[in-house]
Amino acid sequence: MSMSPGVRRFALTAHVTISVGWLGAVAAFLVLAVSGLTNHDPQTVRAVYLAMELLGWCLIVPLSFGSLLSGIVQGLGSPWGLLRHYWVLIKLLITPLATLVLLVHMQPIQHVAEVARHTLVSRADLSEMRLQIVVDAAAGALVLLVATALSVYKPRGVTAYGRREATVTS
Amino acid sequence: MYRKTWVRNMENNEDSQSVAKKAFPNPSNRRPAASEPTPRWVVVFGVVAGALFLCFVVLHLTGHGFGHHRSGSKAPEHVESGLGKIP
Repeated sequence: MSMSPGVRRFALTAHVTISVGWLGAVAAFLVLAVSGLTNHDPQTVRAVYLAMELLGWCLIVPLSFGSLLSGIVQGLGSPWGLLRHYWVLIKLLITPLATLVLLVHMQPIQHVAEVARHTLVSRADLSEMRLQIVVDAAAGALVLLVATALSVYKPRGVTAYGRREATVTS
Repeated sequence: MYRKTWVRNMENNEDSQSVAKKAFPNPSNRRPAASEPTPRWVVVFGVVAGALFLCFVVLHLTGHGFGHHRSGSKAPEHVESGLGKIP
């Protein structure tokens, strides 16, 4: 599949916007998670976890799927390919893995938000689960930073598949 | 004047890119050697990622992760009893 330069630029713009948006949303999520863990005011804590549930389902999950989809389109439609270069291949592995882990870890977020919806959460309540949410958000932000850095630096390295393909086409 | 120069530069850039792509399908403009070794950064990345993944799996399997059913993960008592419930 090959795209015209105009379409390719549009697809690249969409992919960069969605992926960086995902990173920004996760950063906001991390700030809320830390605030929810450390804040003393029960009303603020309640608001924080309700906002996190909304942010997770309405922004982070759609952006993760959007990033994966637009990345696949970008890889298939550009000369970089999907499996030719190590940096693209690693991003292709990182993104679905991050999406899967995100979906699994939406459960504790939803649970804490459910509790916060019906009651005031004190600092001692659900402490391990709230700490888990902070660690997950930090790990997610780190993974997305790595993916962003790979996209910007595009470190050299052609996979065995890419070498075979280059030999066939040359 | 400025715009004309800019457009010309963009066209030249596009042309040189197209030529490079035709000459070398590899976008890094470098034809890969047939038996190129795996780059060091890929090996280091793989080792670090593998170690982190192993840690994650071991922590979860041994129950040292952040479990959902640990004492600190219990929902507040007043959720079940209804005390302190928000109307």
